[in-house]
Parts: sequence; C-alpha cells; structure tokens
Amino acid sequence: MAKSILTVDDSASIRQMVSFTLKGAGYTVTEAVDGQDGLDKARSGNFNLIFTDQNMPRLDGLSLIKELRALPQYKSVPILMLTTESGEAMKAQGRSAGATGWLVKPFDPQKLLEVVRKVIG
Amino acid sequence: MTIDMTQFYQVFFDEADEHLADMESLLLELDVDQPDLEMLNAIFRAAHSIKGGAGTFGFNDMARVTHILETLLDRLRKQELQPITEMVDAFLEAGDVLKAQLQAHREGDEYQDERIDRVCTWLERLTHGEQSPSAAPPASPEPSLTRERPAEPSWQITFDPHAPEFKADVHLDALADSLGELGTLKRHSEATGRPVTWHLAGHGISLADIQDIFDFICDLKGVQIMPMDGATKSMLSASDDGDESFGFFDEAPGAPEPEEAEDPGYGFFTDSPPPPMSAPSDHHGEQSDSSYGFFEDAPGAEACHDSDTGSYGLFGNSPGMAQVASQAAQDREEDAQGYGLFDPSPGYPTSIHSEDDGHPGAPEAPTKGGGTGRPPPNKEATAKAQSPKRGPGGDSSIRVSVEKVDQLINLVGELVITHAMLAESASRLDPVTHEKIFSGLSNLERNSRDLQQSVMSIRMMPISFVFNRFPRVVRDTAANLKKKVTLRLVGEETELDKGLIERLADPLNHLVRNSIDHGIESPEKRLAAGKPETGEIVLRASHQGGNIVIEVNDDGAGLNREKLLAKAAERGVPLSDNPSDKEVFQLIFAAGFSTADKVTDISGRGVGMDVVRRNIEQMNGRIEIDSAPGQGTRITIRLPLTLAILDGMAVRLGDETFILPLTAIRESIQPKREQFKTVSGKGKVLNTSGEYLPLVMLQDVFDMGQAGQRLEDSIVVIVDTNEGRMALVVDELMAQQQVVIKSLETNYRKVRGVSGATILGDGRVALILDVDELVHLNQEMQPKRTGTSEQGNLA
Repeated sequence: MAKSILTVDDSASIRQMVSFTLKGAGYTVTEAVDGQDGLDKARSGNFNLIFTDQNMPRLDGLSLIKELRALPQYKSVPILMLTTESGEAMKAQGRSAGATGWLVKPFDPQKLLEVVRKVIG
Repeated sequence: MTIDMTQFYQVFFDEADEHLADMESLLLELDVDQPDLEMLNAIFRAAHSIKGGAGTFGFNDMARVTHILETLLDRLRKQELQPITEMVDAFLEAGDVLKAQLQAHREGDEYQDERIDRVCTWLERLTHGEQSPSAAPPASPEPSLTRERPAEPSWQITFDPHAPEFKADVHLDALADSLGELGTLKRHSEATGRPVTWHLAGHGISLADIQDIFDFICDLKGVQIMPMDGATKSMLSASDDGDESFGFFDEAPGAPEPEEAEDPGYGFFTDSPPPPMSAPSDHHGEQSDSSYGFFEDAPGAEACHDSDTGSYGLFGNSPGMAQVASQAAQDREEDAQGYGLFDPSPGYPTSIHSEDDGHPGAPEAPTKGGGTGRPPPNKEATAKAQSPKRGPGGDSSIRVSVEKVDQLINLVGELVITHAMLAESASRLDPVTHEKIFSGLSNLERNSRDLQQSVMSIRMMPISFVFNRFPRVVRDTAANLKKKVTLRLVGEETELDKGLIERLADPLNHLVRNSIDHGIESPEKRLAAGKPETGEIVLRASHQGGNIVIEVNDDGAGLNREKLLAKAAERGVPLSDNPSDKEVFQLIFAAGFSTADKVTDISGRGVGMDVVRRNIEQMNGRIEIDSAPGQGTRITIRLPLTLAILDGMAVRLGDETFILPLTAIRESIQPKREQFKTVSGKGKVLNTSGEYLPLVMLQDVFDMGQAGQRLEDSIVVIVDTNEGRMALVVDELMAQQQVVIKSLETNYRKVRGVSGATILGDGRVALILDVDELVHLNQEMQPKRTGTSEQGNLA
C-alpha cells in the first residue's frame, strides 16, 4: 500500500508543490491548510510521515508537533519541519517539540523526495 | 524525475498577491503606538509565506526583499524593536516593490529598479534601529553591514560541458577567462566530468552578460545561471556543488574538503551536535559529503545520530527516528543485495545515468537528486524547457479570460431574444392542440433565465476588490494634507459585475480624495467646531432592488451653498430662481467647477467631478449628492448590477416601443387635465403633489409627428435624472422586462437621448432611453416651442 504523507502548510503553492511531487512518486498525500487543520486531519487519518510548516495561523508548527506527539498513533511517526531558518535555536525548539528533522525552505522537489525516501522509503 | 515548477507559478502569484494585500491592509490598521502583537505576527507570516514561496520557485529577487522585510518584522514581533511610523512607510514601500516584482514575474520578466535596493537599505537601517533623518527613504543604496548581505552580488552558473548542447571543442579555461573578465570567478569540481558549478562574483554583472558569453558556445538551455543574494545565498550554496560528489559508503568524517564544506548537499553529521550554521560563511567543518553516517553504523544506530545536510536534518533519538533507522537498514540490505552501485570513492563515477534507470532501489532518490541537479530555478529556462501545465490541486477553480465569459453572456442574450421570438410566434397557436410546445416554451424560459443568472454570476465580484485599495489611498492622502482621517468600509462583500468594478475604481478614488481634501477639515478646525479630531470617511455598498448603491460619506464641513451659488453666478451657470439644495449641490458635477480656494495636488482643479459623473452615467448609473453644513457630505452612486442586461420598462408611444431603465423610474401616474400647466420659459410642466416637473413629450423630442392621443389619456412616468425629476409622457406601459443591451454606437452611431438598443420578442428593435440626455434635449426644445423664453437658450 502506498505510504501516506500529510503536508501542513498555509501556503497553497508550497502545499501543491509538495503534494504534486510526492504523488508523482507514488505516495498518498493529504494537504492541510494550517496547524489546526493538520491536527484534525492527522487525528482522523493514519499517516506515515508528516511535513509541517512553522509559521501558520491558528496553530503553529511546533505546537502542532507537540500535539501530535501526545497522540498515541503519532508517538513515533516521523515529523519533519519545513522551515526557512536552520539556526540552532530553531533546531533546539524543533527537537524539544518532538520533530524528527527539518528541511530548509526553499527546497526543490528532488531534495524533498530524497528526504522522504530516506525517511520512509 | 524532473518536476516542472512553472505549473505552480500561478498559484504562487495568486497567493503572493493575497498575502501582499493582507499585509497592506494589516499595516494600515496597525496602531503604531499600541501595536497588536497578533497583527504583527500576521504581517510577519504574510512576508514569511511570500519568502518561502519565492525561494522555492526561484524568484530570488522577491526572496531577497521579503527576507529583509521579514527580519525587521521578526524583531518587531519579538518586541526587540518598537514600531514607528517610518517602519510602516517602509513596509508599504516594500509591499509596492514586491507587487512590482510579482507583476514582472507574471509577465515572465524581472523587475529592475533602484527602488529595490533603496527599500532594502531602508529596511536594513530600520532593523538596526536607525531612523532616517527624514521620513523619506535614503536616496542611494548604501552598502549595509547586515550579516546576510554578501560583499558582492554573485551568480551561480551550473552547466555540463559534456552535454550535447555544448560544442565539442569548448575549452573550459577559455570560458573561464571570458567570465573572469566580468568578475571574480570561482571554479569548482570540474574533474568529475559531471555538471560543473562556478561562482561569479562582482558588481554590475547582469544575467545577460553571462548569457552572452555562453551563447557563443552552447544552447542556453544547458546552462543554469542564478543570482545569489544575501537572502538566499546560504540556501543556494548549501546544495551547489555537492551534487557531484557524494559517496554513500566512504568513511571520511574527519576529512572535510575545504571547497565543498559549505555545500553539504548530502553530507550528514555523524557527530552531534551539529555546528552552528548562522552565517553563510560558516563552513561545516565536521561535515563531509561523503559520510552518510546512517549507513556506516550498526543497524538502528541511525536513530541516535543527528544528521544535518545544511538544507535538511534529522534529530537523533527523536521520535520517528526508529522508522528512519529501519528504512536505512532496508536500504543497506538492498545495497547488500547489489542494488547500491555507488562507487565508494569520493570521486564520482560518470555512469550515473544508467543507474538511474536500471535500479529503482532505495538509493535511487539521492542519485537522482544528485545526478540531475536542481531544476533551473530561473524562470526563463524552465519556461522554455517545459510546457506549462497546471497541477492537480488547481482544479477547484479555473481561470478563464473575460472575453470568453462576455461571449457567453452575449449568447445568453441571443437566447433570451430567440425565446421571446418563439413565444411570440407560439402565442398565435391554440394552447390545447399545441400543449407540448407551450410547456416546452415555459421550460425554455425557465432554463434560459437560470442560465442567464449563472452566467452573470461568473462575472460577479465582491466590491472589496475596489474598496480594498482605499485604506492606502486614505492614509496617503490624509498624510499628504496633514489631516487625520479614518476609513470605514461597509458591505464589502456586495457583488457586482467585474466590468463595473473596474470602471468604478477611478471615480471612487476621485470621490474619496475629494472628500478628504474638501470635506474633512483640518484637525484644528474640527476641534474648534466641537468635532472629534479625526474625521471619518465611510464607503458603503449595498443592493437595493436591482441596483447597487455605493455611498461615499464624510463627516466634514459639508458643501457651502452660498459659495456654490456665488460661483455659479460668476461662471454664468443657469439656475432656477429658487434652486433646491439638490440642484445647487449638483453644480459640483459641472465641468470646470471648483470652489476650492486653493488648488492642491490632490484635487481642486475642477476637472474630475464632471468626469466622475460622466463615468457613472456611462455605466447606466446615476450619482446624487446630499450635504449638511458642518455635518458632512454623502455622495450616492446607483448602478445597475451589470452592463450587459438592463431591467427595463417597455413603453409604447405611437407605433414605437422604448425601454426606460427601471433604475430611473420613480412612479407612473394617470394625469388629470388640470395637472398640466404651461410656464413661461419652462414649457409644459406637470403639477404633481405641489411640485412642477418639466414635461417631456417624446414625440417632440424625437420629432415623431403629432401625438396619437390626448394628454389626459396618456400615462406620465416620473423619472429621476441628474437635473432632478421629470415627467415623461407615453401612450402605454407595456411590460417590465430584462433587455439585452446592444450598443447603438458600435452598430449605428451615437443618438442623443438614446443610450442603446435592444431586440424585442417580435424581432423589432427598441431604443433604450437616456433620461439625462432627454432633459437636455427637452430644454433645447423650449425656445422653438415657446418662442418667448429668456432662459431657454441657456442650456
């Protein structure tokens, strides 16, 4: 069965790009428009990997990750942050929130696929 | 797998437009003295989102501006800096620059203007807590000390000298010499024989300069040239030349290559924690692109390691890493089974492409990522190489040209006419024997009405498209005039035809600026008059019947009746003896009429209000003005919902049918003989509820010969015009109906008193009356008819 991925981003263009790239590679992709939407969708689904933006209305990426980690089905699912900064502070925050890793924006589709394949095959 | 990034451009453009509009409206709302943190956050997010998208889709110029913008906003929202008005000015200017850049990209171009550098420098200064001596942006782009900013602008050039696009005998050295003449060239990793990446740094190098050089030796499609700015340098360089040189299994954690250390495309840290990466010049010393730490360790060990490539990373021991580890273990297994064909040496094999196709195993992804390189981020290259197509996410809405919709509306119009004709023919048939025809006709009528409504709704847009520009207009105009004005928008969601929306923008702009300039008083005067210091302008839109009503209200000084009358006398504008307020106020719509004591650059030259009125009338609308001294002025615009179809009343006069716009009709009455009077200088008038209205006889105006019936047998329709009400004499009211407006001008010529034509059910053409023109025509008739008038020839 195709692995399913949730991509949470308030930017439609980024979301589409991520979604299109991953669908093209055979993954099932669900899009969420902000952190709250992401949380709702994650609750009702079972994803193998979650990408989340950091700056979003309603619920930001770090809070989303914390919420997700509190859910039993997402205890050990890889969650990657899509972020524009790669500073230490961000990494420390990400790590403590429970993120599995990070991917710096801008990224190109190849990079994205590479990371996904690396993480969930 | 190459992914065509151009397919996402449209979404990005629309999204960026939205973000820019949001940002602007938030900025205008922002109270600098008591900034709302949530608002600052929202502004930051807007800038941030644009930056993310711009970077991803290769619009590096926008990424640069938004990065600098975001940096300042970030400091504001973290309350490291106190917002000042100048910042808002700078943000607005940056927003304008971004809009220009976005527009240029939409057209496949790149915006180049010194404004860009100016606003960047301005923002950077503000970021460092400096204020400009004046509110104006610094005139020249001074090099700033921001750490993100590279000393020199530089370009990254990636090409494959062995690709077929290249001429066989290209000497890289000669090429390098040519490029070296433009600036400082840094050459990387040519020995591998795979695409090479060079960096060219120097001031004043344009894309065209570099392209010119490559144009000699190859098809430009084979060359990627991208600018590297402060905003994006760290990211771009993070994956530049590593593409050529990564080896999965090589163990060289301690042997960083100085050149490639800054480019980690695929390197992973085997140690933790990773070194700080704050500055772009920071070389990740511990990192080696040839050390995929994952694969060297025992199965599962991956889970404990941080990996950091500079462009992405995984936290060791974090939740989720167990899966990564098992995936890695699987990869390794596959490798062991012979899927991993990478040469373990740091020097990379040249036969990369065959592996791509032959082995869809796990290592394929990185191979591809490395082998095919990034897609060309500069738009020209991508657009040339790949035909644009839309992504699957875009199917919830489509973009259609307005012409297509207009064509549809036209066709629906024809359908309405055809139906009317059929119904007309069928009316002679016996309903009993032709029952099916009649039921078919009624179905057709219903369907075409539904179709018409659906098609019209395509063209409908919320009026917020026009209204949303006004917060900015009000702010700028008020600041210019040193007045304090707030703007309130009401009914922004009211929908009207797109064509009308576009044509409304200019008149409304004029009215609003006028209100600020002439209506709203200066803060001192307002205080003296016992009013709040800050004036208010209200833009209100609503549906009233089949009309859209738009009001521009101000709580300013109101119109000065005496001044207007004096001005009218001075200019010799005709007025009745005891003119009503309405009549006097309408004077401001007369050409060349300005009561402003002094001409400002905002308004007051007297051109404008007459143009405003003309614009509104061209849309079959009308404009009215109410004013109370000391309390303010209200200008009301009434518009039909659409330009294409008119709600009209068919009226008969002799053998002719005319259409009166429903918007103009006030009432219709059956007059009594004693209501008709003849007044010297005004011709015939109608006395209705004590008021004398000019009586317009269409027979006379259109020279249709003698009236067919006596006046008292006629019907009088009272209509609103710009000159007040008038009474129109017709033989019969026929039916209220929607008519499709056909331009008389394009099909025949302009006829006074007639705004257009339509085709009736019986196939005949009916003229649509222009009541405002009729008043004028009627006035011109007076001397001929009465012969004694003194005022009659003034019109």
